[in-house]
Amino acid sequence: MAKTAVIIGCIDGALPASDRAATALAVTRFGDDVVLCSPRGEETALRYALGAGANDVMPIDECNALVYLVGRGGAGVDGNLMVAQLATARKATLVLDVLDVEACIDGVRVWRDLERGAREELTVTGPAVLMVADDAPQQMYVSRFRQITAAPPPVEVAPNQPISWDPVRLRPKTADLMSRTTGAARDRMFDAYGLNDGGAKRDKHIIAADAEICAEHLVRYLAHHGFVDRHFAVADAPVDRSGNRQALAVSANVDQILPDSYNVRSPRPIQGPTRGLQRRSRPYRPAAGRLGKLLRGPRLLGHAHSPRIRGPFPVARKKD
Amino acid sequence: MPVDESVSREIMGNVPMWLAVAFYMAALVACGWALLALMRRIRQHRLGRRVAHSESSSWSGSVVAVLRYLTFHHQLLRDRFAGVAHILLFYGFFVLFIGTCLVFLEHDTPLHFFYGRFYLVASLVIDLGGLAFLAGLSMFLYRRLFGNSQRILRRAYVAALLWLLLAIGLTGFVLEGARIAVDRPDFERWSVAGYAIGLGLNVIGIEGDAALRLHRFSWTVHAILCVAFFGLVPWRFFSHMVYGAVSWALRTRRPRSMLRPVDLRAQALAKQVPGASTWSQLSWIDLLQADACTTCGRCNEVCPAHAAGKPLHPRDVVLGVREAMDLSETHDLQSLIHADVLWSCTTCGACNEACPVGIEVYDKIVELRRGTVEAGVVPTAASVCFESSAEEFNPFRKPNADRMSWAAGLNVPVAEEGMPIELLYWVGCAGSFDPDGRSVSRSMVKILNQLGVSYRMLGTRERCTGDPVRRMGEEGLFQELARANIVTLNNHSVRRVLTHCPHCFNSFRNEYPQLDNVSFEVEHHTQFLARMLAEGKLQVGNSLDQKVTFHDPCYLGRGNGETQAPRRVLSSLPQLTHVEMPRHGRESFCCGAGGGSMWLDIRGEDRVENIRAREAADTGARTIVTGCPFCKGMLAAGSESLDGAEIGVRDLAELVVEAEGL
Repeated sequence: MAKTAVIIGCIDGALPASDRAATALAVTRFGDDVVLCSPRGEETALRYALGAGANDVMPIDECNALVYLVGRGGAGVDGNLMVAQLATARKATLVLDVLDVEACIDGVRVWRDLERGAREELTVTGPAVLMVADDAPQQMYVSRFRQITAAPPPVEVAPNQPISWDPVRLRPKTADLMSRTTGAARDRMFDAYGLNDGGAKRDKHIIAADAEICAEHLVRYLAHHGFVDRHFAVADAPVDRSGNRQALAVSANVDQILPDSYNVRSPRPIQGPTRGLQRRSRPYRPAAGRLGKLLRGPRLLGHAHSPRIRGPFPVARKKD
Repeated sequence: MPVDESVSREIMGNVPMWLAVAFYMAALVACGWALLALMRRIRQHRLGRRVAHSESSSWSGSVVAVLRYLTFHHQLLRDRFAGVAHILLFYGFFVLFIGTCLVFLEHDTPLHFFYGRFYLVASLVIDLGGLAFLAGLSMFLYRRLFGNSQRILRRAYVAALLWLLLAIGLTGFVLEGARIAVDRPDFERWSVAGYAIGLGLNVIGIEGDAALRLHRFSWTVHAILCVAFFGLVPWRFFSHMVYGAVSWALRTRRPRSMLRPVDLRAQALAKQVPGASTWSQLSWIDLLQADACTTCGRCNEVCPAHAAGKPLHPRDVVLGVREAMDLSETHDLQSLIHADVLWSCTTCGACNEACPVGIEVYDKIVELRRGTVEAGVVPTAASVCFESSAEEFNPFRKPNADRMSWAAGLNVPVAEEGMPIELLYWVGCAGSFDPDGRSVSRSMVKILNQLGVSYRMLGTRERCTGDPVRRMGEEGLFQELARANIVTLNNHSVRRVLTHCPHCFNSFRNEYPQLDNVSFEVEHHTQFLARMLAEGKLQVGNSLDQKVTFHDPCYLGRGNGETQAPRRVLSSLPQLTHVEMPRHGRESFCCGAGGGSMWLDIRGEDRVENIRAREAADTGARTIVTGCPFCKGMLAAGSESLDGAEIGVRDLAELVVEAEGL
């Protein structure tokens, strides 16, 4: 198992500063054992990383590292969603807008950009997926000679697979997510995981996944902030036949955690032909408990005990 | 005049056999030790990288150059005091050395010639040589003890070695005086100094046995000191006696601003990297030159970075290399020469020009920069400059698409792809993107249009010539940019290139031919303007009525020897009063922009451009005229720092446009 993997790629034929910084951080902070993953196998990226001192090149799927340093070009058009998916697949902690990183006795110490000159220091134990900020300091320069003399092996580029990560909230267009560079790293990470309620109003639908996925994200969120044990969130999660972790028993307490006003929207499979933002009709589920009262959807004709939450208010008419 | 064999002296008289044998043995050991040390050093030199032989001239030419140099000391006489002191010391030492050899031949070989008239003349000459030797040493010691020159290397070992030489000279005279004081023969009056000392000894009562005892004692001390001297010849600055002449013989005949060619392909095949991080990665000439350093500090005195209080002391770079050679082969040079020292250099070449033994300091600095670039440890500003040059083909971090934005409203002929070009006007990055340079480009276009010459420009197909990145140590990127430019120029079958940037001029003229066959000629705009004025094609009628001073760009004046063309143009402009700054021509002072310093900013106590602007203001001129867009920008910044004095900065082309009334 490699200690560090660096995932970089080009945008418009050039290696973004974020990818150069990610490479430099990998080589300067983690020494010899650095593996390069270039999703699209651009020669520029390969030469750069090998010239910087990366030891090997391998596809992301085959790479199993402790620390993944990802550049903006490496994330590609999927942007934050790509790293979110990677972090989930590797059961790793995701940190965006990383400025610096170093190995420490507990794992890795990460400095994250909070914008306006502020930064915070995090300690990440276990696997980590670190997306490096565009303005991270360049820890090293890879000379043209080193790039030219690096001999990249032929890389088989996997066909462009659609991102299989499904954020929990109503997902804006991917391009919008990519272009969002002004938000703080914390907000964008929560965006990627669908944990962000920033800007949501009480009457807006912000959750767009089933309870299992919500719970999964919630546990990750709680583990990230130390409310629950990390291993509880990762290792102890029951695995179903398809290999996906199930939503734990925490789902039983969802109604205690979610505010009453939050509406749960229809469940959608994570991967499937119907993924996307399309709405579709759902079978009626009888209300059960407090949460059930909040379920939206078509009501049975004449079933009037459930109060209307949204929609036009009935006009009070005076009876003649 | 007595000419018989009695007119001589007993050699090694009054010296017991055991002492003479001990002296010979010790001298033999010391010479052997020195020889071994020299051989070890030469082996170290040979560990250095090979450089092209074309750098130095033929053997016969080198020998003639060395003999001329040693005879006339012309390079040393640039500093009159030190030059005269060294002439006295050198010729005195030379005469004493010849005298010692004569004594050795007379005493230790069957030859017998040291008597009669020859003895008398030799005695006179040797005594005069000894006096010159002591006079030269005294001058050096006087300057060290009482002078306030900043360039003197105030290290104990330097003073100790000078005192050792002085003691050798003094004990030599004392023992000669004691020998003469024993019986004071009349013919010894030819030994002017020795006879005077002998007379003095007699006056104070030292004669006979006392004089003999003094003679034996002073001979013993003199012999010990001489043996020590033999052993110390390869040590520290004494080694310049061996390597100094060799260094001068091997000094480059390249233009000052031309760097050595680097064969990246060969280095890649040999699994080497460009540049040096250890001493063995420097070229053998660099290593030999480090041992040739006399520690005189002339390089420090002329260095603009040193004058501005930056951490660079060129002499320390050379001594750092020498010190590293005393350590292991893999010892990191960065531990002896700090990165800030390297990045302070403006590559103006003043140190190379000033060095009395032809050491190329700035080449070593660029080589060490290459080492840091290959190690990936460069200042952020440098890496930004590299990345901008690689991606946008200019070091100014501007989009290449904006390269022609300076020409808005002007009639500029941009060549179509593949179109043959007789005269190419190469604008350069500073001329395209820097505000100070853009006005120069506009002026040149006005002049060219006025002249009606057929010229073309390349527009956005121009790329940086690679000069800044090469000086900053990015050799690979330089060669990439240069080869791309050569292909572009060859596609257009360019015959002549005209540029107003001395850095581009230097690259085209000196460094592109290192990479490929280039068939075009290059002309700097000051040369072009001077030629047009001389041919009468350019008419300047408007009175300028200004007092100006000309700042010689390093890459034009010192770097490529062109100091007259701009002055010819200035003298052609009506009612223009031209005054020179104290440092001008090949001795010009840098503006502070070269070698990537335009983008790097190593802090010092002062700024190079401010120093130069003050120097210009002190002449009373109201305008600084220059022939380089980088110099113009830097001096404009420097002129803003002047208290009270208002001085403008113009390019020569702008003055011509004003005089033409365009």
